[in-house]
Amino acid sequence: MSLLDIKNFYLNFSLKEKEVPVLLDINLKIEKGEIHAIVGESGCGKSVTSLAITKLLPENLAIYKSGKILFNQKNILELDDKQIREIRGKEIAYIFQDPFTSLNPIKKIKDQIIESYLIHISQNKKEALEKAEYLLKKVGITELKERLESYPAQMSGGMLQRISIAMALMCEPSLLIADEPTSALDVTIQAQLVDLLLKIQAEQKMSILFISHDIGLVGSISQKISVMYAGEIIETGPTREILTKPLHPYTQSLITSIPSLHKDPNQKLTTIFGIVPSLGEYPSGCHFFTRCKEVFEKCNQKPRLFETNASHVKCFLYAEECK
Amino acid sequence: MIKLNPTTKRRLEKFKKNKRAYYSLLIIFTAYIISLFAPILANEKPLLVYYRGNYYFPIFKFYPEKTFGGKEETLPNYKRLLRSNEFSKESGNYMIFPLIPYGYNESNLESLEEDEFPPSKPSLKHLLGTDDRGRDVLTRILYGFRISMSFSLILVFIEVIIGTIIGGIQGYFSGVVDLSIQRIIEILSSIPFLFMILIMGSFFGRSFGVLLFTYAAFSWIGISYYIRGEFYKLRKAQFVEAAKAFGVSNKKIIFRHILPNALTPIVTFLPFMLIGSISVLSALDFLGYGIPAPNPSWGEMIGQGREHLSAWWLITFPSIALFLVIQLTSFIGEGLRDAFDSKDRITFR
Amino acid sequence: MIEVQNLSVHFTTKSSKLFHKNLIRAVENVNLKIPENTIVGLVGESGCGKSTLGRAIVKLLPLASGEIFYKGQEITHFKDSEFLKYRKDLQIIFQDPYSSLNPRFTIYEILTEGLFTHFRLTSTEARKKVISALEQMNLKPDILERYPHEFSGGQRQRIAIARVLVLEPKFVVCDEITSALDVSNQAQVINLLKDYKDKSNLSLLFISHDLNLVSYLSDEIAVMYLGKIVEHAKREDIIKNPLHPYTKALYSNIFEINNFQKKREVLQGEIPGVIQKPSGCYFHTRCPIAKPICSQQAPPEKNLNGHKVACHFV
Repeated sequence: MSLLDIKNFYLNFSLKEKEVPVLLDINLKIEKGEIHAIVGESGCGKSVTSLAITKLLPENLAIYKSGKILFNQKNILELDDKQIREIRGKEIAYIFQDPFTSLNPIKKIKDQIIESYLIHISQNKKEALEKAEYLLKKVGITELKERLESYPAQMSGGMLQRISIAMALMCEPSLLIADEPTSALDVTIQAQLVDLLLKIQAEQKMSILFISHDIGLVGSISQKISVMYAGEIIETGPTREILTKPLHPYTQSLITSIPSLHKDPNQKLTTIFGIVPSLGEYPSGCHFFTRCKEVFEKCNQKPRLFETNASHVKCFLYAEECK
Repeated sequence: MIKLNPTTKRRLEKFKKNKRAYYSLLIIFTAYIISLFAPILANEKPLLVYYRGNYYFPIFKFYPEKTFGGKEETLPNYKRLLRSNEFSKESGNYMIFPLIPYGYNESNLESLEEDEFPPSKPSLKHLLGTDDRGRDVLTRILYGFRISMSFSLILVFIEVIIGTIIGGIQGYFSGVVDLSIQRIIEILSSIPFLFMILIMGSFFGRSFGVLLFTYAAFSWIGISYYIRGEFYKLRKAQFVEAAKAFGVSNKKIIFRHILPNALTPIVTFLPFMLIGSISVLSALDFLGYGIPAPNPSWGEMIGQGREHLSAWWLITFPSIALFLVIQLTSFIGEGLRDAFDSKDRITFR
Repeated sequence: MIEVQNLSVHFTTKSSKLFHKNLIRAVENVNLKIPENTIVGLVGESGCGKSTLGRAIVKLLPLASGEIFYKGQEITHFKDSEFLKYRKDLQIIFQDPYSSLNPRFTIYEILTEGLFTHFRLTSTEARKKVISALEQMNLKPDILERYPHEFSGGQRQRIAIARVLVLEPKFVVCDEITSALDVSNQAQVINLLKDYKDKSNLSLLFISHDLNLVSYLSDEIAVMYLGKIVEHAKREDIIKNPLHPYTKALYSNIFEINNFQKKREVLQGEIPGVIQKPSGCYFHTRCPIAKPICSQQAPPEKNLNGHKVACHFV
């Protein structure tokens, strides 16, 4: 059984007395010990999806319209607040993009890092601090005593992200949701952190949901990729398939629009005409059809995820009835 | 029509939608305009005198008593004149008085009943009563509004100009210039305001001008802090850097790039600055250090009321007027603040 | 066309000690030549000084030492008024499309501000020039009366670029111009910029932290670390045969979409702070081949057939 199984999930926002669709027909499965990446450009809804999994969105904004989010076969959408809070931090942990704002700037590291342990595991501070030191060593922090007594502002971004990872691991979660954890870091530091995540994941057999806009990065670490566009998952499948044989026209354009040192400089980068539809202005049929080169009549209806050999694609080009 | 920045248009519309703020603005604005016409609305001099075939306009022109058959060169008491035998016996003579036939400094002792002493309570003749010198309260409130509002508007205007210039210089040039001006400001702001008013008043005599000058000399400090901060921030803005890279001169950068962006939020401060100065002025008048008698002012009337506690109308009506002005202006201020609030757009990733 | 010799830029900041200021040597003794009609890519991580160098070359920052030659003419000693006429040739585009356009100006005003500073034109002539620059960036003339907030990040960046191109510059510093953009917007901007450069003999100093992008776009690549240029060579040379250990580490560490299974040699250690730089060669604290001499002596700048490296062991 999958660790996380999102089935037909729809999410709306309540904006200025109107209800606006944000996420449509999200289907995502993460197995135990698997790294699954969600990629997409800004505004596609990947961060919203990650927050929706544990109902972390603002209450007066988010309307969990329909569908199921099954975690260990329990539907999170049907749990009450207390039950969800038991899952957050303990079984599902998060790390975010900017450690300077996701860590409390006025609390010492040692006070922040033991917080979730004290809530979920035991109230014994000594125990918690021991675990913290163990994990900090594991993530490569030296000079432990000093670091524990410091405040976030005294350290570099790379170090803080390591601390964030250690913090997330305190209660040994089975799922780690990492939202652009390395986007704010330098290239060499990013590489270190990615290596660290892979090492830890292999040791703990932890599942990771890795969200990023950097397709090259997720290509190197994930086993499965889901591509999002305008609130929908438009293609999902094994990493190798998505990167070498992308099926959806958007994925194809996206991959060829990324510059790389292997690319022939005389060859232009692919551009997609038009702009991403903004919130509340999604087209009625396929969300991509206004910008798609392969558009045909069926596209003004809503496609579902069609299955091909290895992946799933939300495009009528791959629907049985259209072939 | 002036072409409006769509942001400005949006803000105007948002302000208009706030009915409370919008109507408050209309009320205060209309009331102020009306008060500017106070001499025509409430005066002991008539608007028009028809005497022996000639038209006279006493409010606009000075006529000595002699003009109307008197002996003196002085200002005639038109009401007495109206009742005099000379005037009324001849047919055809008439006077048209303003809506409120009282002046702000006119002691209406003659119009009082037998056993009445000033201050007299509200009656049909004096809608809001009279003060301890028999002066009509309604008239004084009207003229008082004109004075305090005008004072505050001019004050705010001066405050903003001086504060912007000095704060702008500090923020743009920073370094030694900023530090030295800052030290001067600190010295200035440690001088007790009230004592300065007393000293200036006793040196130069109390008057509208002296009061305005002294008050303005201190009040610009707050604005200068704000503008200084904005200039510091905007100096580093990328569009300013871009303009520098184009070779745009410093002067143009200040006036076209930095200043408009720095001044915009000041609009939201204005109503509150107005309230501040109206309140301070009333307080000074109450204590007796503000605008000198016999000029009408609400603070002074309230002060009188304190001495004649049984004459409840002396405290009540000016207080209500003060309260209304402050309350409505603060509604305007809130409305402006909401209109300029840019948080109604939700950005989302 | 642009030659920079021994250029240094220093900043001072407050320090915790009384009466003492920290000296930050943001750029140290940089020598760089940017030929005509060439894109020189400048890469490096935080603290390397690449943005500072870019700004110093267009005289937005004062130099602590060194000289800048434009077409053989030394320009650092010029006063502002003398330098003004060079400003139209030496331009810069910034990273953030949201703050580089004044929100209260119309697009027309934004595009013509530089133009009217340097040329005396009637508004018809100005309009023509502006529209042609917009076309280069795939933008329609009907946007001229609109305001920046009505446009997306990608469109704004194209407007910012058009603003510079309208002056027909000879040299433009591009300071992380696509870092705030999505991949598809980036692709559009890069394509348009390249087209323009091919048509008009323009030189670019393209500053970016994205080595993939710089490797694709540039004719030459220069790598900076903590204020110094550690390697500078033609694109093919540096990609096929990076000489400096830092360059090698960079190419090994980056994620490549066409080569996602590659083995990466992860570089250990943190990037040193700019205030307390390491002794000798700045890279020695993280260098896999560091020897004792590296912590004692700064490495010499070697030139191997046009491939410049600053390392003891190359």
